[in-house]
Amino acid sequence: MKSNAAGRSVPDLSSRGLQPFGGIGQPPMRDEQKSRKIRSCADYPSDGNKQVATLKSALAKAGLSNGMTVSTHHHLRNGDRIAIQLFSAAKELGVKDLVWYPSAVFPCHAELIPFLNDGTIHHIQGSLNGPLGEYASFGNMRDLAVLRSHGCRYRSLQDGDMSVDVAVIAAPSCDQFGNMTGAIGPSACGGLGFAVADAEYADHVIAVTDNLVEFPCAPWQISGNYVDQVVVVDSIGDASQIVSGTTVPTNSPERQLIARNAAQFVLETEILKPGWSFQAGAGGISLSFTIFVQQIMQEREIFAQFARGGSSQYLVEMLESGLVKTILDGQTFDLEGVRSIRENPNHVMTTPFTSYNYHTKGNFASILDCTVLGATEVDLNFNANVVTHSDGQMLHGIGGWQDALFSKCTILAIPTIRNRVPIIRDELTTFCGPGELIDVVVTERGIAINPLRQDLLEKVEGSNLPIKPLAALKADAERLAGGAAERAVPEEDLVGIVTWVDGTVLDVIHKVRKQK
Amino acid sequence: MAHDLVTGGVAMSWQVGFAGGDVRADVQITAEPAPEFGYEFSSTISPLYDEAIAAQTESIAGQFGRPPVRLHCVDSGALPFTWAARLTAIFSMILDRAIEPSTKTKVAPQPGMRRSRLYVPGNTPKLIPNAPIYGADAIILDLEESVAPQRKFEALAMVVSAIEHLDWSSSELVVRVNAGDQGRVDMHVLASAPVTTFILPKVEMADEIVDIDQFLNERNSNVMLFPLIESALGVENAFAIASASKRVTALSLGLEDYTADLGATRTAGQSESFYARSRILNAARAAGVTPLASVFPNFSDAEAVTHYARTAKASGYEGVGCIHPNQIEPTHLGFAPSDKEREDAEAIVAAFESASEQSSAVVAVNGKMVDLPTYNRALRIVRSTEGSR
Repeated sequence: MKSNAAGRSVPDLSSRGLQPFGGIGQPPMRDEQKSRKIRSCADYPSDGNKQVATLKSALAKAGLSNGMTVSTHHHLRNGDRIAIQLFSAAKELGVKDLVWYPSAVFPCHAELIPFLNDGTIHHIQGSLNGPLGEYASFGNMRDLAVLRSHGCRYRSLQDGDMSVDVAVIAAPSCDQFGNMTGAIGPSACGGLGFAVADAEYADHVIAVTDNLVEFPCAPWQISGNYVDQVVVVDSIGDASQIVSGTTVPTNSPERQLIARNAAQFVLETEILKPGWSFQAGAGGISLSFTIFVQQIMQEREIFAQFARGGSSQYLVEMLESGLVKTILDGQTFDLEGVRSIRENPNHVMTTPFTSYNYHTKGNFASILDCTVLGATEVDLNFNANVVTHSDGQMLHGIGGWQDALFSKCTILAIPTIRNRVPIIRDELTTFCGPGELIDVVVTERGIAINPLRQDLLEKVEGSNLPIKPLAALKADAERLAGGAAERAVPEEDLVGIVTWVDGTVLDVIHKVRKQK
Repeated sequence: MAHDLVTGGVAMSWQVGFAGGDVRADVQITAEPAPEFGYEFSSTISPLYDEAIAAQTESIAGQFGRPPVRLHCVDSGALPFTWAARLTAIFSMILDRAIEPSTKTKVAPQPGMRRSRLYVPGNTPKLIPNAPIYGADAIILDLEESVAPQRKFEALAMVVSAIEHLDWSSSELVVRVNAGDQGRVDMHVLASAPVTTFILPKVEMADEIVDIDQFLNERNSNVMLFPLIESALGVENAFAIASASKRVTALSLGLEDYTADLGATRTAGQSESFYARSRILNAARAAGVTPLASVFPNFSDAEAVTHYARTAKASGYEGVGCIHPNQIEPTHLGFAPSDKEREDAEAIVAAFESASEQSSAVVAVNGKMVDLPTYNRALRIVRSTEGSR
């Protein structure tokens, strides 16, 4: 074990091509990025019809074999029905030890646990949450979960850390050539930005749709030029489940107070000013923040130059009322977002390449004036955890969290205490984000500003904002909880690796010790 | 359900607290007779506070002499004050003891403005610790309507524990006690607690206040009283009730029960209660106590809350009841004076106080005489702006 630049003890993982985190802004591990293979039109039907009868036959034609890596996207969120069809077909083909590289997993994917148990799936590469997170946390998976942010996932394919053999892309509408869009169809889910990297870099791409349309499927979000085969199935998913638990504003008065405090903070620090830009994530507090800044912007007639989605009905209202000029949308959280991205040219689909990718010539995240995010833990140096709870279980994905830390003002909007457990701790259970990128922690009991941001501290002087040191918020929570939580002692075995946006190792996750 | 199950005269088990479903921050404890004291618990936050839970359980069991029972505890992240309340309640039930009177020596916060008074159910521990963070002028821990009859015992233990363990210094701390015999039990236990005010429900006669005043005098209690008028008879006796004791500090009308007593239907326009509201307001002012408007049932429409508060203020009330934290800010907005009101009030206060210092009997501001009631009214407005959020 060696200590990395975050001060975390990590083992030597060089055999996996991984290096320890060396700090923010370090040179890339590699000089060259992966080149795409040359394809030839001669190998594809000249009439453009790439349709095959079943997903099983498409996988067979793709040469799916033991140990390959397969990928899917998560735009259908908790309504996804493609992963189960993919692994059911693979099982029928007798293929074993597949590595699944989804852009994210959801509770609906608990139905894949039998495929992990029977060896169809060897392990999952990526952030794990819900039942799969619990499954892996107790050491049931055959290999480590390598947790990457959305931007890091794109980078991993681009840099070649990961190679996808077969990408299976759920397409709410698709033509026989493989042009596809998520904006229309019975399973419309909005943009398909997370599948773009898979389309570009996978060796073999299968588009799966339940809405085959006449050529051309225009405007397409992913070009059929990337697609090898097209399969029509009865259903790719349930679009109503795009609205999953984290995409509804909070009803909790405590969490609404946090969101209101965050909105008041950006107002009083003049981050919220004419032409500003912001991103609020999928959590209930973040969505409530969007509603509160909407009210402020309406009252003061302030518009935003752009807002980064996940888009929701609230961002769409702001777009349509002129409060926001453009939505740059990574994923669509509800059906109003789907409608908007279909109808409004100023509601633009983005990809992790444009928004978050670290090994490219800039990205949108660092242009943002403000980002509001959640966290499961924060330490007194403003370092934060977003993937495990204090008991060590992997319960949340990194998502775009690490990538969004690069905004000009990153706000963590979090309660000081969850179910007795104080969120502000002396030491993180899992290190996911360096404190030098986290500017403000907004809670229901006060607002703490990172001492590195003297400019913000000066801005709030004389305001009515409840500014407190982070240590004072920690003390308040511990007073309620009867002291700090004990540190969960895990097993020695590793179950996961947390990478930074550049692919280096920030931290490792140990197997959770079973309670007696 | 808080109960002891009795079979053939032998108590077989006892239970306090809630578990399952959406329950959070509570611990349900079931006790059964056993050869010696013992316990087991499951916790949604295990192992993070396992040692602390065990230590607290042992400590409180020791205070009750480790009775021969086995406790089965289902914890959903209860805070220590909740564990203390539930353990105290179940051991008291097992030993057939009353809840011990609170003897904490913390000083009760003094009443200030009462624009907003937030009702918090006294037996729902997840709602209690955050009650002080929303900026309500007063917080009411409720032992009456929000607590089922069979839960009164454990709710009283919960309120005692919350008062003793949590910081209430930012608001006036009020407890709505029960009517009748249970109310006497509640007040006996809380008489010396750092509670500023008791809300007395369903008061109809001045004699009730006189009796309670005497009851509290016998316990050297400093707690003030806030009678709630909820019947036609109570309305008729409002002035006598408000004047019955120096402890009475505020008066309000409970609209739901009052309209039911009238046989009327409660309407949005509230015309059915106009007489009662006017009578209560007049009685309160005549008796020199604070008139407070009833609770407003809609908490999802901030503009409606503000309108209700603004209307109450224009009528002469100094506050409204809130059943949800989201009502507090719109309420304060409704009670905020206009710029001109504030400027006029500041001028009146400054002129009156200056004249008092100079022992001058005659004060005039903008050509109008300022007497003591005018000064007091202006002072209320100035104070309301000092604490406005």
